[in-house]
Amino acid sequence: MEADDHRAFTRFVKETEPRLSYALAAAYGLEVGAEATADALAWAWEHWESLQGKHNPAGYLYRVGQSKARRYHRPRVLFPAIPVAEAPSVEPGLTAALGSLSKNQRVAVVLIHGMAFSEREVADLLGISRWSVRTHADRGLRRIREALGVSADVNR
Amino acid sequence: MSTVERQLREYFDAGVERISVDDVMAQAAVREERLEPLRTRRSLKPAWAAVGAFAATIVAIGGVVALLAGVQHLTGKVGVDAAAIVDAGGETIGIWLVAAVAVALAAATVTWLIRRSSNNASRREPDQGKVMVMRTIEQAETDAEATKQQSRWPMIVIAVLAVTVVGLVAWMVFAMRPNSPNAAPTEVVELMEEYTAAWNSFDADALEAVVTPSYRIRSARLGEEMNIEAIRTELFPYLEGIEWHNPITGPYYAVGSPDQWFVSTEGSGIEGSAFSDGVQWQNGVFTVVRVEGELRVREHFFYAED
Repeated sequence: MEADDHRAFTRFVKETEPRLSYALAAAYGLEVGAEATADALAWAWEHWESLQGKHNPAGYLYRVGQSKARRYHRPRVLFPAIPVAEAPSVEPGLTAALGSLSKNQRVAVVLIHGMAFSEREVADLLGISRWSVRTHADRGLRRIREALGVSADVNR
Repeated sequence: MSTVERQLREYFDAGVERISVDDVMAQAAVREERLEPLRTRRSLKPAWAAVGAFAATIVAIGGVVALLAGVQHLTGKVGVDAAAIVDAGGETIGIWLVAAVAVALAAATVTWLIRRSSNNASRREPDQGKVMVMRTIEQAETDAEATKQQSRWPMIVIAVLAVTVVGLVAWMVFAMRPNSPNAAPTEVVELMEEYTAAWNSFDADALEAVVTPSYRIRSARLGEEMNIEAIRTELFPYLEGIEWHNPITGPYYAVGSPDQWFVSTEGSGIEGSAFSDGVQWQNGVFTVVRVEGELRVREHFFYAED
C-alpha cells in the first residue's frame, strides 16, 4: 500500500512539479517560488490521501503554494540577474519587465510562452478560464516586448 | 536578439530550482525525525514584532481601562468616579507606555534573534549556487556557532536604540497630547480650581475674590439666579447644612479669546443629588472674562437632569 502511494506520488510529482515550480517562481520570484514549491510538495506528500481525491490536485496544490509563499518575506528583487553563461540569450531588461507584470500575467506568459505549457494546463493550475489565461499571456508578452523593444518576428 | 519566449525559457530553466521526489521524501523524513528543515521561514520581522507587541499592549491596556471605566460608570455615582478615572488614567498611562515599550523591545529582540538563526540556516552553499533543501540540527548549530564569532552587537544595539527612540517619541507625543483640542489654558484652569475650592468651603469672600461684581449663578431649570450676596446669605448656609460638595476638578475645556472664555467640564455631575429630589446638577458653562488684567468668573450657568 505504501509502495503504491509512493509510486503514485512520484508520478504526480513528475507531472505536476514543473508546472508548479515555474508558476510559483513566476508568481513570487525565484527564491520564494522555490521555497513555496518545496513546501507545497511536502504538504502534498503529508496529505496525499486527501489530495488524491481532489478534482484538480495541481490547482489545489498551487493554492497551497500560494499560501506557503505568503508566509515568506518578499524579496526586494523577485527576479535576480542570472550569469550570462547560464542564460546567454537573456537581455538585462527582461527581469525588470517581468517584475512590472501582474502576477497572473507573469505566470501565464512564463508557462505558455516560455515553457510551452498548454492553456488548459495553466487554466487548471490557476483556476481560471482558458480565455483569461490567453488574455493574461498575450498582454504579458506584449508588455515584455514593449519593455525590451522587440517585435514578434524576431528570429528564433 | 532572441525572442522573448526563448529568453523566458532560458531564464527560468537556469533560475528555477527544481524539486525532485527524493527532495520531498527527504524533507518528509527529516520532519518525521524532528530534524530542522533548512528552509526556515523568514517572515519574522523585528520591526513588525515590536510594533505589534506595542500595539497589542496598548490595546490590552485600553480594554482594561474601558472595562474599568464602564464598571465605574455603572455605579451611578456620577462625577466622583468619572473624575477618579480620569485622574487614575493620567497618572498611570506613563507606566503603561513604559510597559508597552518594554514588551516591544523584548519582541523585537527575540524576533531578531530567531530571524538571524533562520537566515543562517538558509544561506546558500557557496560551492553549489543552489539553496540546500534541508540539514540537521547539528549542522545548523555548527553554522550558528560560526556566525556567533561575527560581531552582531552593533546591529543589536542599533535595533534596540531605534525601537527605544520610536517608543519614547510615541510616549512624548502621547503625553503632550491635550485631552481635547479645546483644553482650557492654565490660567483658566487655576481660576476654576480656586472657584471650585471657594464653593466647597462655602467661603463667600474667597468666591468674591474670583468673580466679577456682576457675577450671577443661574439655573435654566429653576429659572433662578443668585448674586454673590444671595449666595453668601442664603445658598452657602443651606449647602453647608446638607454637606454639599462639588468634586469636579476638571479637566476643563474652554473656547473663546484671551479676554473672554466659555468654560465647561467633562460630562460629570455634582454629588449631592438629594439637593433637589434626585436631580443631578451639572456644572454647565462658566463665562470667564478678564477684568483689569485678571480672569474672573462672570456667570455660572448650570443645568440639571432628572
